Amino acid sequence: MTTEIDPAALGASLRRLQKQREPAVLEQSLEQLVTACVELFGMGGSGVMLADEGGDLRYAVATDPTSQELEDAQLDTGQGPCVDTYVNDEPVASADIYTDDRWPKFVERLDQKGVRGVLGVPIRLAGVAVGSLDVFRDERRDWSTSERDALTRYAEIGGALLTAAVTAEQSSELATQLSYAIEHRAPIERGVGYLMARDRIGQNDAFNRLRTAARSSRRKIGDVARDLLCTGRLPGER
Amino acid sequence: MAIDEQALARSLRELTGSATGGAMHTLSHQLGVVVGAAAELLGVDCVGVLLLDEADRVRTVAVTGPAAAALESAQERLQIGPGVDVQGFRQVVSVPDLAEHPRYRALWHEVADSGVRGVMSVPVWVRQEVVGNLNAVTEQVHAWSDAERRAGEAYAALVGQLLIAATHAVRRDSAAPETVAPDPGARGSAR
Repeated sequence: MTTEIDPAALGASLRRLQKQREPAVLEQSLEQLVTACVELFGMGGSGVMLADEGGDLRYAVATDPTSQELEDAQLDTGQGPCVDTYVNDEPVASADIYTDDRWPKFVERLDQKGVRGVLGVPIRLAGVAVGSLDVFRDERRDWSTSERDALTRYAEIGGALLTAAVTAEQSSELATQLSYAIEHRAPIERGVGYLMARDRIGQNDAFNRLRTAARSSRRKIGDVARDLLCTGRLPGER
Repeated sequence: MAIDEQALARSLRELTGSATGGAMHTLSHQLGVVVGAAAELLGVDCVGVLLLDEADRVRTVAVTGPAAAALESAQERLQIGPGVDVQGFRQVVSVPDLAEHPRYRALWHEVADSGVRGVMSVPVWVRQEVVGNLNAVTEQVHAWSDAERRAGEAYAALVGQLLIAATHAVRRDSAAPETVAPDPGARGSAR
């Protein structure tokens, strides 16, 4: 007796099964990362934001509602310690965000939600910053060098976990987002550097200018950065 | 930091039924990153990771220092120690002073000159199964606190999550030939 097998149908079925199972891996990894972070560092809460194809940070995971508020306030206003962490690719600390004048819109939006001391560190995959890991305390915190170093070390673990998870579930939306961030971070950074030199502006302003140009032209920020480096112009510029 | 890729492959085979070279290489590197930071973040002198093989025996997979290497090697050889007991107890086993613990006399005899005194063995869970353990080692007698136990469990959960991701990657690699570029309209046959 001959058994008929349809490879296309079989492949489709397997892909469906893989899709059912796989998204949990990356989400679980993110949840484990922030849960263990709070336990290891004795923090009030922790969260992760990851960059999307437009260069915007997106909420990924948080241990508690206050951490999510912290992330939402930064995403809504486009400013805050963890935004700077990602844009500048370096740890950013604030002993007390309410006496820190760097992010007025963010602080106003957060509106006394039980967050005072905040520390953010970049999460890197394959050496490329793809987002930020943040922790907070509900009281003032003068972050020590050893705390910054330890959280930076911990973010390396985050990178390892996410790399393994992305390898496991390359087809999920979040994995695709991370893969894009890795692929396009280098031209984005070069584009930001180009704008800083050309327009004599700071890193954050240059990044925001690039991101705004991408949004207004409805193109991906990585593509806009590549064109900028080739032509010297942003979309709409003469 | 040393990773025993053969021991890791045995454990991964136990978890997945197979292990590919590419997935092994990736897992080995990422496990090195995770375990390599453990001693620093847990505030201990060194750590080791034991995982079960196909015969349900614990095998040393990773160590970060000579004391942990001696401890894991002796536990693996004798099949005695907190890292063996934790597999059955399914909860943290903390030993303030290995030299004074009557249950582990044979183990202490093996590692007395290796700089091992305090040991905390934490189960590594994958789904609902204890597949191995993370062993934190101090060179001095150490009374383990509840906070340290919780931190150890949190860290072991990261190791477990890494293994879960690795098993998915291995399965995906194994399934790839059947799922990539099927010939449209073609119908294969098998007898």
